[in-house]
Amino acid sequence: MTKNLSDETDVRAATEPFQAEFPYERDEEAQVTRREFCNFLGLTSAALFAGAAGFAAKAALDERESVSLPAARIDGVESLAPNSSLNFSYPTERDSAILIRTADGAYHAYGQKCTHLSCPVYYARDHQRLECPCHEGAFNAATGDVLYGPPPRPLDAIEIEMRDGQIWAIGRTPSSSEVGG
Amino acid sequence: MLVMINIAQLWILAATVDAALGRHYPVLVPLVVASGVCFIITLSIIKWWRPTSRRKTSTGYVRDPR
Repeated sequence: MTKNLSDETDVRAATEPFQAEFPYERDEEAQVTRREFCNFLGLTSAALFAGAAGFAAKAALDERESVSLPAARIDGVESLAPNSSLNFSYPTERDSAILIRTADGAYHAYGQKCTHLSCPVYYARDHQRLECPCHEGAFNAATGDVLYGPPPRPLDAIEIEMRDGQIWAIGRTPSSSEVGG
Repeated sequence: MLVMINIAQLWILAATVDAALGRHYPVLVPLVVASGVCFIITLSIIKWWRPTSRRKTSTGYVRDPR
């Protein structure tokens, strides 16, 4: 006796050519029962919940973790003219950063990743601000704050220190304030 | 209903990732709680939901499946 899994009694005959080329058993469509489908959705729900909880836990751990970064000398500062910039890496070679010497001679350093989608920002001399070429965001060169565009928060600030005429990077402060929030 | 809850949870997960990467910590807990509530609702539906055709009516009559 054949178990009838399908609830359709009037199954159309496969008369078209494409139906003959790709035949299938109608009853096999009902191999997944409603209960199995519900269980699958339940597992999916559990996985999504675990994912959200995991991301939140990871973020909470990262927030508590205070890493002391080693000091690193920034090479090439002596030739940096006012209203110009210099790229360097800090704290690792993969963390690109930008040092800016503003028109008044002050130095400021920031992580180079735009806080919107991580495009590298550059110093626009004409406007004396940091600009992101991807989605037209801009940051204040003196503070790292968002001037306009889609970035949700200021650039990560890199703490610098003058030692014997050289500039050293001594720490990195992730920004956390929301624009308008 | 379960599919709709899954879609809502997917949206919550996207918002959680966005908040975590943006370091917007205050909203993380409400997002995780919301996802947990969705999960509990899903479990409740799976555990207690039965097809209408299998339920007994108030008179004790069991409906025949169509």
